[in-house]
Amino acid sequence: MLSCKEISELVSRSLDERLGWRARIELTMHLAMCRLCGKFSRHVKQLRRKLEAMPEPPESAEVSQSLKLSTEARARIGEALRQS
Amino acid sequence: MDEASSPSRDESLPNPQSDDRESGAVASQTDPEQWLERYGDYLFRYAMSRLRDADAAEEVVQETLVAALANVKQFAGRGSERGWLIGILKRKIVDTIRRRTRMRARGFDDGDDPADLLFDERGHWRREAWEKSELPSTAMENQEFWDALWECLEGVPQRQADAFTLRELEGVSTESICQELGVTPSHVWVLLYRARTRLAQCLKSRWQLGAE
Repeated sequence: MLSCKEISELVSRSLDERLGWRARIELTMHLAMCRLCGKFSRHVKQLRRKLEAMPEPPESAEVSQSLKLSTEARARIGEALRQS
Repeated sequence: MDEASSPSRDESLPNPQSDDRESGAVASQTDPEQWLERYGDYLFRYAMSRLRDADAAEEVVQETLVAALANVKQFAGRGSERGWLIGILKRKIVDTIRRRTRMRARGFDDGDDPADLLFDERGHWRREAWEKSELPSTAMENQEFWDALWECLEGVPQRQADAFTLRELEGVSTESICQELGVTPSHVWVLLYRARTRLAQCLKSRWQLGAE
């Protein structure tokens, strides 16, 4: 019997490679019974789906307003382009 | 015959303004002097979302534009100018992550392990790990999601966050991450596992907000 910690490691790993059949069976059975591991599994999968749908911060995000090239950086890069 | 250039594909492209650039004097439509003005902020924002470090992000934007200028003839006018620049930027971002990983390789600091906070000594979830946690909301708006992710990523140690970025944001395979970062597969899994558990913990409260 694997612990929840080990199961959560398998959940993560299953996002990166195909697990062996034994691990897959253990995982499926455990997730069918364990509410908290089920939550963890849904959370990390939801995270992946969200990032697939939106892999970059959209312009409308609050964080995007603060992510602009500074005037100095802009001048520096412009200069580098002129010299190259 | 050529699937890549069939019009139906364009619907999924984020920047439709590139649609009618295929015909005519292609070279004259690329204007390097306009790049910084047109794409500077966009490239910077993209780089920041991957590197989370303003100095490093400015540097890759500069490297990208200089490299693009040197290779402007390679831009055949197929697809969008912005897409072409992003392609170069992605490569520079991976280079930067590789460099900073290798630089710190001697210290070998993976960042701390969140497992002790989440599991008891027998490997069961601690009660507080998922307390009051609801299902993630699919309704959460993309901009809210990114604002939450941005804050949560700040709490993830850099090595873990870098591995997560390459895997989940750039879609790099774990095999390639091993090669890029010069680490073993089991090491990459540990880094990804720690990043994911940490992010899931941080995001779960934000997701609840989105669910209401």
